[in-house]
Amino acid sequence: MSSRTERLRERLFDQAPGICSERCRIFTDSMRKSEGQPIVLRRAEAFYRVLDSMSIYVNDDELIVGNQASQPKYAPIYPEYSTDWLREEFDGKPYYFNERPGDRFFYDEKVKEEILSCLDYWEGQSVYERLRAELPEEINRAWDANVIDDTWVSAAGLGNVIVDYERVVNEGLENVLRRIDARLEELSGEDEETEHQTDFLKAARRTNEGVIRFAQRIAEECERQAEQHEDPVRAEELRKLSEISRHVPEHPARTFHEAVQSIWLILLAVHLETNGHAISLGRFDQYVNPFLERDLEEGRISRDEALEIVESFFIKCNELNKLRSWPDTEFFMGYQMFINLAVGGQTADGKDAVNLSSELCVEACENLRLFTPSISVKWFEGTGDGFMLKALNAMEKHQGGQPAFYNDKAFMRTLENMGIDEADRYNWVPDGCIEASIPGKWDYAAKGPWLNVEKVLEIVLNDGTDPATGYHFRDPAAPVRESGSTEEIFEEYKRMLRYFIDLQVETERINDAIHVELDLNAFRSSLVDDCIVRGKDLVEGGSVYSADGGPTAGTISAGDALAAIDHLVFNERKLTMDQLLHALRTDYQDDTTIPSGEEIRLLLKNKAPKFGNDDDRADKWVVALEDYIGSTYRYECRSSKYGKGPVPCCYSYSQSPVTGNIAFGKSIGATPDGRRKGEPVNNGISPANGSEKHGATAACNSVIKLPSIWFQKGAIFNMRLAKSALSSAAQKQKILDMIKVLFRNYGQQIQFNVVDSDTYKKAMAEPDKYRDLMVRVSGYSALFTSLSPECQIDVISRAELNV
Amino acid sequence: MSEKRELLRVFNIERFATEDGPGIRTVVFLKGCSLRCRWCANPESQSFRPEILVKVNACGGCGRCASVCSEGAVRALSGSGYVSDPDRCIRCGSCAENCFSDARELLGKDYTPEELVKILLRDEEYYLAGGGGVTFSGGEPCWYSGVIAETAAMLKARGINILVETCGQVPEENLREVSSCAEAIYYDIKHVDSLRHRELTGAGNELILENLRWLCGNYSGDLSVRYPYIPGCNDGEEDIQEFFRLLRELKLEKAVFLPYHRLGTDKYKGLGRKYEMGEMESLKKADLAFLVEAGAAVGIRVTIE
Repeated sequence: MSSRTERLRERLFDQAPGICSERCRIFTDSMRKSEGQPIVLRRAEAFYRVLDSMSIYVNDDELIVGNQASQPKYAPIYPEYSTDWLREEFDGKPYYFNERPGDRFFYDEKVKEEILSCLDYWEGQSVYERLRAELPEEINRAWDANVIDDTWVSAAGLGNVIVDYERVVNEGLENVLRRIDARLEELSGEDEETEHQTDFLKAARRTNEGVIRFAQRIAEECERQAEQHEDPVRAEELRKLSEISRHVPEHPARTFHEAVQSIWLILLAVHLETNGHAISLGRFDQYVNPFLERDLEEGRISRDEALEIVESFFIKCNELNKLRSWPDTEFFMGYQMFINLAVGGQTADGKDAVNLSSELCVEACENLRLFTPSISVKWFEGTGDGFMLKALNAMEKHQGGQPAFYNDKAFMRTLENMGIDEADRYNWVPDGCIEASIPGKWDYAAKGPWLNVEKVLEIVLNDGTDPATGYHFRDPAAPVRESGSTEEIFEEYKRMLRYFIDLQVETERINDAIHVELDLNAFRSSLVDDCIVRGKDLVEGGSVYSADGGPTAGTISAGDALAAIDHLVFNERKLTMDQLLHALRTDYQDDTTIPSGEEIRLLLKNKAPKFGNDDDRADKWVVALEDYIGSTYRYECRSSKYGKGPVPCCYSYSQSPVTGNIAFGKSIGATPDGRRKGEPVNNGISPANGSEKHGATAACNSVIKLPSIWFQKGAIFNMRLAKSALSSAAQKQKILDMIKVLFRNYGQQIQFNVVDSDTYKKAMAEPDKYRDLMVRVSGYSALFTSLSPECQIDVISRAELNV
Repeated sequence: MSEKRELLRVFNIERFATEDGPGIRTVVFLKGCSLRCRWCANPESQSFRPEILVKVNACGGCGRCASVCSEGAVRALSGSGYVSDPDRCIRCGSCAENCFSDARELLGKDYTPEELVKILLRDEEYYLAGGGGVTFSGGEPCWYSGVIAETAAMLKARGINILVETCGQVPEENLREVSSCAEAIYYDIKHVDSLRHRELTGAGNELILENLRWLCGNYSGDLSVRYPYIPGCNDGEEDIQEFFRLLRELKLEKAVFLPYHRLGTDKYKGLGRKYEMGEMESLKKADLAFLVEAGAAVGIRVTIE
């Protein structure tokens, strides 16, 4: 790591996260003044105003410049999505932002007052409040019972977008403007549709101009500083940075440095347009490498200088931040932005796509040990072992599960099933946590309400009623205690799942309609095909590809629960259904029964087969459940954009719950997998905590049985590795052998946590000493010390596989 | 012990073993050994009979095991929880089955070669991905030489690598049979002096050394000689030099040293047995680093595992 990178990294850790009121104030002021005009134009103008007048900083040593807020790691506020929680949390309910158990944000009174003074304007017309007001009673009940939850895409903007960076670096925004103008000229007619298209294109124009203006302002700041800087070397650097920002992203990049600066500015602008997260970078190594090769060839840059630019860029990505409400934070713990960056994979003609830029990204990942961007290695049969071992080396040093590994073969099969054009499939990338997207052609790689899968089972075991809220959702065919087989319970479970899946779809239909009315975003849309041609925003159906689906949590735990019922109640008859149901309803605390509540819990936990051990008695239930959910989403559900342009507009299955497995677990009572009330459910498709007993290959074999064809939105497979498992090249090769077997069998993804539990325990006791300790919680990495204690304990309690 | 065994009596099958030979492996631990090394980390491997092992830390102390035992063989032992008396225990397993905490396990399950192969093949793809395979360990696997040869033949036919770990205290014919089917043999030497060897392990080392000589002359696979380095037992400077002299005499150029560890202590408790090494502390790899130089001085390439 160069001394510059070291200083930048150190400064990043010294900076505490905070709240910035600038965007909130400028945006709200602009919106106040534009009442009555079409929303797409109003938002475009407000976006322009923000870029035109927000403060700009350029800090020492930076090679990539431009900022999201008044200070690094400060989160701008987007009041148009939701206001109630801001008022409440500024009032300390449930916590003051700066006193939260995790993900704290600092602020001063002035910032607080400035934000509060904007909120009146948004009262009753923010997206979240509108949605909750418009949802039918039964959906609000399901939401309040924590069966579904759509906070993340209503109290905040829509995210999971990968715009066409490749086109921007090669053609510049000037070409976007040309295409907008050409389309505007083509449009004729007086009808409402044409009018709306015209408005959209005008808005797109305005927003692109705003981004160009923003770059010019950054250039001006660099110039200003250059004139005053005492160090002539830095002054020269600043002049060069100014020149770069004058040129990109408006024009095509001429150098590697310009290409990276251009990408950063686009990433920044998309983040400033809305606060939807998981704005990812796509195949960064592919679209920047031609610039790097040319610069190297022509002697404009050295390898080390290029690495320094990549590192400076990665550090900038860590300056982005988002303030979520506390309940939403519980699903996304760890200051997460989910900026994913893919390397490797294959070229259009099926060759190994690994290049020098791929290697620089992996090196930067290893050197920096940061959680953003999330480095994802795409593997296919032609990926060389050398690169994979390099990535495993980086993963060992990083300790936070990066890079993670993704399988082209599995994802491309899924995309084929969804009708994605063959010419686009190889180019897929993981967005955000892990969901597959086609860069520049897909709207939102993930969107829609969460589903609490094991909660639905709890409701089935209570004959259609949620015991926590008392809400009754649906009458069963027969009381569960009269079930004669696990299959009967499973049939009822499927019916209940279908009921809630339909509620998910209906929720998102209403949510989309509200976004269409209140939340059109022309800048990001102008960088995704075919929004300009169609004259439509992404949320209106402007993109080539689209499929909805929010994260789910707890499928593995629910499958384990069915396996336990099957094994102990119906096969071995060690328990009756009545005994089981009584134990669940009393959270295993009734010690007057024989066996006692606690004994029943131990039986369920220890004497029933569990997923993750290559044991068909458990795996078959998980597979059946996953097949049902996955195929229902794929073939039975349609998003609001169906028939409006994009394909396939189905739903798809996501099992990347981030920390939602903990948040959702809190609302679920005791379950037959031996889980106590309130405990977390399993994470992704990783075996439930403590249930892996036969090592890594057995866990992989269980995962291989899952129908990954349904997993377009990803399924996180987390594996803890002891440090010794990576202690030598020969040991790493064994891990690679295992990954290959998993992937050849359509396993989709795997990520590792390499650390000792002792280290985590020490970090809990002395967080200051471990402020850079990383952990891969689920589909992303986080700083361990930023997590809440219960989240930290969850990390520690994950079974350490003996590898 | 020379009767022909038709079944493999297994006390543990460890998948994704990465420390026991090349590639990804499954280790099959066979029950029974004629040595009684003081430091043995797998005391449950010694007896040829099945036995109940209690995971003392998992035991919740409910006593259900004692109440279901028809023979009155389970008793509470201070410091160990509920242990089974091997003389009274009839190995029915009902205590283990009724232990809801999963703290009791009946070790010593018999498999035919076909049954075992079926389990081992669950990880076949992983073995074949990188030259891995199956390691037979123990106990002393050579007591099962006939059934191992049968098992190994089925595995080798599929290209799976076979490795055997032995203490060498077996008839030569057993070793001969095993060595003909194993690509590699890990061979333990505990002490070069036979009297001291008897004190430490219960038997002299004549047969072990004789078998090693036979292997050196006849075995064409990869032979790795290993020396568990046990403080106060075989760690004297002269002990080590004697060991090196033996290797040189046999024209062996490398040796693996295994640092003493006390990971087996809980198992002694769980079997109701006394751990003879007392409070002796575990060694780290780094503690044995000096042996690399000592070996190099006499032409032996030493590695520490």
